[in-house]
Amino acid sequence: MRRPIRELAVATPFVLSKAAVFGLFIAVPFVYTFVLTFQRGSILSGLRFTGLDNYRTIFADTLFRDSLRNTLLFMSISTPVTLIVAGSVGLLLASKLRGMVIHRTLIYLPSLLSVVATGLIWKVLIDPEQGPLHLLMRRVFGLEIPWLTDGTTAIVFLALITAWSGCGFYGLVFMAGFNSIPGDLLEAARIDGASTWQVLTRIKLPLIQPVIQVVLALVTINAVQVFDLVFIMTNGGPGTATYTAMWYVYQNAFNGGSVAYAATMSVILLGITAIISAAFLGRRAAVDQ
Amino acid sequence: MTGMARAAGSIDRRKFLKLTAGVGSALLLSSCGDDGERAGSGQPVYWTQPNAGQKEMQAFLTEIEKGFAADNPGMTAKTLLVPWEDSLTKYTAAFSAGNPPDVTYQIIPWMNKWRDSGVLADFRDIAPKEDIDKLLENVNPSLLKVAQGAGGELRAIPYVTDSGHNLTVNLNVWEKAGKPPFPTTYAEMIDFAKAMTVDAKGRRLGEAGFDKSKVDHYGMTWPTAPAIQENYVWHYFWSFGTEYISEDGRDIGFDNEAGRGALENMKEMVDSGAATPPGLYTDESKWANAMVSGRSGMQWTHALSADQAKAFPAARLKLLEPPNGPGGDQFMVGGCGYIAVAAKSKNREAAYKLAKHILSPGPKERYTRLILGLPINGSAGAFYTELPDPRMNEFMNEASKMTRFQRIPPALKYQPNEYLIGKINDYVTGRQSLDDMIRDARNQIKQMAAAAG
Repeated sequence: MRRPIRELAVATPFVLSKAAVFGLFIAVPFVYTFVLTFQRGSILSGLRFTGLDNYRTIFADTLFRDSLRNTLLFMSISTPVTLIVAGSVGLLLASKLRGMVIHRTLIYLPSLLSVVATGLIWKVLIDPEQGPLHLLMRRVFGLEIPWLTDGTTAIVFLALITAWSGCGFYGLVFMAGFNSIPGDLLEAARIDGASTWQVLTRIKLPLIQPVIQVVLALVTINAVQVFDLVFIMTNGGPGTATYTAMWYVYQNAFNGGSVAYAATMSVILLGITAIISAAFLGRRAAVDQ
Repeated sequence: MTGMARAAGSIDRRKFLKLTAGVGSALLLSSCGDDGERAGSGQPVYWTQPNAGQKEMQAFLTEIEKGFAADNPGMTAKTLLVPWEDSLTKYTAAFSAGNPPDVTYQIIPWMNKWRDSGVLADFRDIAPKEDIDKLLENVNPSLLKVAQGAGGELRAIPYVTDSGHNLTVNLNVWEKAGKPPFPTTYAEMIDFAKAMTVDAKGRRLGEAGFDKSKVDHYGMTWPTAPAIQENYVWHYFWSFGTEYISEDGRDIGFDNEAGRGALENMKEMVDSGAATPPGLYTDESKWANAMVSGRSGMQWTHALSADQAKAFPAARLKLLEPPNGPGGDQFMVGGCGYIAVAAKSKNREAAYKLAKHILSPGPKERYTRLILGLPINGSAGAFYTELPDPRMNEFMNEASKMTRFQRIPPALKYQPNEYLIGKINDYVTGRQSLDDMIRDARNQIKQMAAAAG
């Protein structure tokens, strides 16, 4: 009887500290965000309950609609590009080519850069007067690309940069997936006369489906939450062309004067992210069965 | 095995866990305590932003700390330079958490946010009347109004005014372009800019053979960067005879003949081919040098800095009066920095002493000169005589004559400026028609106003 009490005495501080940290940094802000969505005003001057007003306003908010559309465009580019490039990188890294350790390091390097550094590097590369990439495009291909001055081009460009910076990390995830495939399966396929393409599409890809789904879920959720690259590279411009949902949330919270409205948008985004996650998890469960 | 793991192994797992739990609990409890050291010591803290070079600002703040200690024996102050991009976030977090810096540097948009929120102390409660009267002597009433609450509370003291963004011409470019007459109206600005736009072979915009892909210098700098445009876009609305937000602050104010006229003028400038293309630079800081470097002939620009004077030793500049609108109105955005004391300062007396030291004539003049500002209480004669480059003295003293045109943007509970400039850019760059842009902007401003309560 004394032993459980002693164990309880030892365990309690651990549980309490964990509960305190969880409560303080996750549960309280989470619940408070929901409460905020039913209020108006500002934290400093006072908030008052206004029922569902914020939700009603959001559904009539054209800029929120535009920012969701921009986010969708961003997602529709960054997700497949990241998947394809990272998958190819993973395949390459899983191969037994010479110098693969060096290749792995080099390919992983962009993932080590902070988003701020990534944004600044690309801004230098595309500078219209001195940027090496811009000058290359102009002098070699005769292309004057409006990298950040045309709305659609800017979104596409941001999506490609995101894919570039993520392909190292996701490439390693894919590599782990490919390496986990039993060698005898691949050996048997080759003995049966399967081509490299057939081995890839009929054996490797089906066997790493769980990995693909995890990467797909992560990339999609990250796309819904894209903010930092917009902050560094376009500030939502030109005009409002690169307003993404999270950028709009930030603008409302810190530049637009309404934390409550920003919280409401965050809840809507949380709902979207939850639906995406549930779709992936549901599909995963179906496959498992 | 690491050293830490070896040590854990040698003392018995249960003891190690108990020890860890004890230390963890102690740390947790201590982190929940009051910010006792700072509150107890009474050391006032001042947060400000880098309005000059980092090194110079840091040196100035060290002087403030030393000066405060000399003026107040037995007391010390602490200063912190907060980057501009983080400032509003940090201020919001600090004020919301109830643990704000005692004294803060404030700008107009932030004053609009805090003024009636109760986070700033009323100077009438913490300072003697004679001190206040002296500090407010000759202060432009429009700048003072920003610091006054709805009930007449004095939430901050105007500290330094700004030269604003003056319409400035690069005389070298002007001479190369054949000295076209300087514009006196917004309509003339477009013709002037066209006359100043010259290609690499010396052909003017509109002349036969003009090569728009090889423009040597443009007539007008037109960055599509809200952070820069925020300093001058409102000149257009005001000079054309309207405000960009309605009087009650709940709608746009430019859906009228004057507002549409101002917007059409901006678009005409952008469409004329005489304005710099939006993608000329990806780096916002480069836009500041567009005119002084000779890449364009005219720009709404801040004062010539020492770095600019050094980088462009041959540049000769001329400030123009703000152009007249159709009704002859001339306006420009006024700027002002304020010193405020937090209502929840742990030691208001020490906080006021620090604010008083910052606002005393010596440090105030030193700061004004350091940041190339203009004296808030006016100046008899030329304020600037010893800047590192005579062109800087000339620019600043000329700019001081333009402060009579200064006007302060409307005080609102929300901050629509960045959004509105984004929408204006949507229109002037052709992404939206004027009517569509106005419709969207109206809906959004109504929503922002409603959400702000």
